Amino acid sequence: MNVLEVSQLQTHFFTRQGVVKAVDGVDFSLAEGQVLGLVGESGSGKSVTGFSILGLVDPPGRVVGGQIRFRGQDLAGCTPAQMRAIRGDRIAMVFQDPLMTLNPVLRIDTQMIEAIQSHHRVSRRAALDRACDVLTRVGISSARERLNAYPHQFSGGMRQRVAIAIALINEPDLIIADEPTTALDVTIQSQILSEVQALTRDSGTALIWITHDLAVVAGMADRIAVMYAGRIVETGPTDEVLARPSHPYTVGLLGSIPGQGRRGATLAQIPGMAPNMARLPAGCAFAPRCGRVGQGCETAAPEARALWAGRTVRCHHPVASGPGHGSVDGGAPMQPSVGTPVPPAPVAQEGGRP
Amino acid sequence: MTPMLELREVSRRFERKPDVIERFAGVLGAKVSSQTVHAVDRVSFEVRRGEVVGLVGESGCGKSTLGRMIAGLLPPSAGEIRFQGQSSTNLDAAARRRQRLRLQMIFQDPMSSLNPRMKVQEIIGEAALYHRLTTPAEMPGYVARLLDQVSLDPAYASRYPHQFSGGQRQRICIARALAVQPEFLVCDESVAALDVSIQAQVINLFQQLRRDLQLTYLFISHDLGVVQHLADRVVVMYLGRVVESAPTQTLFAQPQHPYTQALLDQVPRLHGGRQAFRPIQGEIASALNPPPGCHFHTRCPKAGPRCRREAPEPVTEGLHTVACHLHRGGVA
Repeated sequence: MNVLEVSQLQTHFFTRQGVVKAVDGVDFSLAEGQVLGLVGESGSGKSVTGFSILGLVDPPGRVVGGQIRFRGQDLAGCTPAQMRAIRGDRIAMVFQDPLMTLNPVLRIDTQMIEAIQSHHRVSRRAALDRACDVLTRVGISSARERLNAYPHQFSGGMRQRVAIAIALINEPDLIIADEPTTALDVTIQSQILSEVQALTRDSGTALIWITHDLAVVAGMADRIAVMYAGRIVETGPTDEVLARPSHPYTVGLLGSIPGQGRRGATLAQIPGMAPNMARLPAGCAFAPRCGRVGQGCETAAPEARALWAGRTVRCHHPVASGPGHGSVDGGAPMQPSVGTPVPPAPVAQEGGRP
Repeated sequence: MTPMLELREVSRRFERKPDVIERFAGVLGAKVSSQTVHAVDRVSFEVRRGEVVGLVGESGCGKSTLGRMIAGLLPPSAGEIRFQGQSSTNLDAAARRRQRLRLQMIFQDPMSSLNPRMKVQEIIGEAALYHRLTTPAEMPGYVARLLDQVSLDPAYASRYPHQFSGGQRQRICIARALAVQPEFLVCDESVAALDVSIQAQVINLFQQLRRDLQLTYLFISHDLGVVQHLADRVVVMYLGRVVESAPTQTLFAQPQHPYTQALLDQVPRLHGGRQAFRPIQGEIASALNPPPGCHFHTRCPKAGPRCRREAPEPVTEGLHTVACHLHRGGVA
């Protein structure tokens, strides 16, 4: 059974400059123990997706549509009290900056015990034992003594471990991690990645790993979802997407990463910059930067369509690279594997364009 | 041929002097110690004309301090930095100013290095005007050429920094550095704050400028992918010391120092499927209280008793320099 099913999620921000559709029709699902890498550049809506699941979107933002089903329960319809009971207990979040999660004037033990006792009736001693236990699991040595310390007495990497330990403390079904290793050094990042890998493997916790770094999710995610301008433009099994990217944006993103091709060669850059979210173009949001712009791109936003092996792409002219397919371009769209039935790609206006 | 830049045993210490209360406590007989951070410890290397040297290391290893000393923003506590064969310490003020002009720095965060109350034209043209590289009448044309060089629309000259995106701001910083016609650029994490697609654009710009203007770069970065792509030679630092330096291909193919090996091992890779991360244990030691002997021995899987006692001297063989007791069959 799926832990989480998100369908047609829409989170809009009502600003003076207009409505910003930060998340505009996002679908995905997550099974037990699965790791989903949610990848995108700043402003693509990946963090807002995470916040929406936990009901943490502040005004002027609001979840305006869609369903978030967590173990069958629709989170979008929950009361604040119900949401509080879930948050930190069944679903936990790890933020980029651990100083935001940790209260600077409280000792670590106080904060960890609070996280347990606000959800379960257990004794202080039992809570302390549990806290000690999770700290050891995230690789903090001499956890007993470290419990008495304040957040500022920890280094950045250690603080992030404490934040992860607090997320784990009630054995949640789902952890949403929002760029938790971005501010850390490579060595510390790899320590945390290896620990998180072991934890999801051992406990069956599902994980959404939000990041801008494709290489980080490449080594640990089961599936990847690439976001652009509030939509998931491509999704599929990690190695499939990385080996045969189908959306031009994914292709461009992979080509932009230095250090894999010939040294000193010109990187395959994506021209232009991320669109203004308050004034998105009429058709595909990526069209102004896309090298494969063709019929229909500037007039109709592409619908998600299934390719093969659990992959979907939102593009009128995806890069042809299917196994055994000569071309996915123009081929009849197959039945989508997730979400609602998807209408075939709109037939472009015959002679509609000069 | 003299190298463009030569560092000889350059060190930088930061001392925290006891404050009023501590001095008072000292007068009363309490034991007061001043704390010293050895940010950079006897670093030597050189950069030849037209070369791109990458300087990598974890945060706190002293790479930014070194960059600031090279750019002349910080004087070294000991050692000598020679630029085009001349040390800045024995130059008169005018000559030092001329020397500094040939060496410019580009910082990580373009927003905090651009004055928000100045227009792009003033930001880029100010230094050139001051150093008489252009005249007030010719300044707009001068700035327009620079904007064109960094692929920005010259019509943007009358805008303010906040009207630009992060990548464009970094281009403005590059144009400002180029305005005084430098030969050497120190780039301190200049692409770290940018999104991947924008980062690729700026990296391509750096490459193009290097070809067009025959620039020499010192590229400071924690991102090994960026350094591998851009640099001809890589210098690896750990806790204030250089542990290894070699031509890029050699370093990435045959790293010799255990720290370099571990560092390269941990870079997340795009291809190759699920990765088993095998992290180096522990964290970088405190520069306030560095371990004796080899700084890396506290985390090194191969450390022996000798590593805890004496610091290894760098050994150069061809173009490859390694500071490790174990190197070439040594005994730890």
